Amino acid sequence: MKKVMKTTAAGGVGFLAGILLEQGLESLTGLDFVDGLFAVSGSILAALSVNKELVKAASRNIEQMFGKDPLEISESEWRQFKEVNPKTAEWLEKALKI
Amino acid sequence: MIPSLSLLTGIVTGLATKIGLAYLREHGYMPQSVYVNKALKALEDDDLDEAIRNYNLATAKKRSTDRTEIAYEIISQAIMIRIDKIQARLDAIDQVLHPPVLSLQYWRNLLPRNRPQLESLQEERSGFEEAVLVLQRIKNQLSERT
Repeated sequence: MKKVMKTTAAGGVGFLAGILLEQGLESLTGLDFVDGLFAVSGSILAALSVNKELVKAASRNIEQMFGKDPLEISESEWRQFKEVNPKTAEWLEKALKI
Repeated sequence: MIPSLSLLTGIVTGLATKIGLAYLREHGYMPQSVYVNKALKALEDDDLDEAIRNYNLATAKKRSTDRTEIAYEIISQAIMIRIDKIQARLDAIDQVLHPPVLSLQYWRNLLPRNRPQLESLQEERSGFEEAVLVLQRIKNQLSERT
């Protein structure tokens, strides 16, 4: 029991010391130590959501090109878009199963 | 008071991770989709420089893929849309500044009271011309990598 208490106390002190030191170093160097971990998880999330972002960006371009919602464009407007952006159009057709 | 070895190891590891990740991120070693995603996000925020920087990082260390080619089309199209919009405004200004001889606008432009308005349009025109040049320069930066 005494050993457990001792370990817990040492762990607590170490934890607090770590936080204090990290905060001190962060304020001195301007570096965020935890950011590294978030950067990795952020990268994984970014990789997962890239397809969604491509669709969103392409839709914005269509909207700006024709001044209307991508769902409302006509066949000829779509062909016009396809002519200028062949890869994007082909990919959108596949992704949205048009 | 000397910090324990495990604490020091933790700090050194944290620092190394932080510096290492920053290096990898800044030199294009992260997964390609990360940069493509960042480029598209920057485009959404209307930050063309950042969009192109991230696109170039996406293709800096890795070969072009379907995703990067699509991102290239999307970014260059977004720039072209901006250029076209400015060009349309320039054409409208030119119709006022340089109307066909003997048109009504031509005679209006000769009136002294319209001079300040014409001067302000001339200034606006120069600004738009500059903007087109900047956008074309940005687009060329994008083309260099492909």
